[in-house]
Amino acid sequence: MAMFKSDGSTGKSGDTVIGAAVKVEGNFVGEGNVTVEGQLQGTLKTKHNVMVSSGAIVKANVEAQDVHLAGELQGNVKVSGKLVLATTAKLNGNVETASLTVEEGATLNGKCTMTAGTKVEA
Amino acid sequence: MYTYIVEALANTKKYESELARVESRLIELEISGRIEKLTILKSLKEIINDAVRNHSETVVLIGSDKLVNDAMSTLAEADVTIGIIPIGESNAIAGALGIPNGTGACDVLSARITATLDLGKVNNRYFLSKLYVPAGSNVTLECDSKFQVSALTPSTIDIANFSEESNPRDGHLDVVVRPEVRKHFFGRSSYSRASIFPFRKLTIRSGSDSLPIMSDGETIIKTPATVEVAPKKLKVIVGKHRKFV
Repeated sequence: MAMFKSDGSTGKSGDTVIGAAVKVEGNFVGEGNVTVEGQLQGTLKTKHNVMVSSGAIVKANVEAQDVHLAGELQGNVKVSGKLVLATTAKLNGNVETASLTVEEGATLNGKCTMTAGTKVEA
Repeated sequence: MYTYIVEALANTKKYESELARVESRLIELEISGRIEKLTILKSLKEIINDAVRNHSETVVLIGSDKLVNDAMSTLAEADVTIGIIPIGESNAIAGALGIPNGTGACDVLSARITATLDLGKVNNRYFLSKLYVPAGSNVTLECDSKFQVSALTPSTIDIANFSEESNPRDGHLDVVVRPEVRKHFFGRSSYSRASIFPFRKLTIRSGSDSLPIMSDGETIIKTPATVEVAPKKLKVIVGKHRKFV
């Protein structure tokens, strides 16, 4: 998935990186891509892409264009583009997405609704 | 009309010949003007206010990043275009604006490509590039009254308007939280990736300990403090090779 650079950096003004050494609580509304490597609790909304790395813990409802999940997510996910659950992904929550890829080993507990492209209001 | 302000450091024997070359080049380009040299008796604020009163349209700072930072709070409130002629060693701001050292900067001034930039504001003090908070524990950042960031390990904080991560024309600042490097035996160090959050208004708290907030190596205020963006606040002359769009 080529949403982000191969080194994991976002490198564009407006992008957010939640590193492994921080915890974010509250209603996070991003104006660019969001990479989560640490902890996030609350809500997460962006018109762009979200990448949750392996080891990251997200307890939030997430709305974004594309989501690549390799960590843990507890909450509902609404995606207007593609949702990819990588082999280390653990998702407990309902999913609304236009496109879904589940890799072998990924866990999904929740209702899944396929849509024709939901618009994200951020 | 141009007013040139020469930093005390640039007005020393070491830079005498470079300053003379700059003055000659300004005459050749027909953009010479009033030259004010900073001394103990002449404050920067006074000189800038005099320049504004005398209807100077362009105030040019000749010197290092320190002069640019020191002048920012007064210039931010003045209706003038700012130019920079970097002289000396610490000139990262001019470099990012695409302005070469010495006489090359005179050509940039003459070409007069201008850009309107955001500034950062901490209490009543403006800054162009960035602020730095040394590592401390219990540091929390409240961003745009929407979410709170807690550093789980001692981390340094950079608040940047203008850096590799930040564009000074995007209407927001960025806070970069860098976990302190842990050193192990045999000289090995472990690194954890920095976190980056764009914001418009940020409150920094550090529990019961007060941490210094520094600009250009000097403490300008202590935590708790509120930092916000002042969008499109500064009109500045830039070079073609500037590091932002």
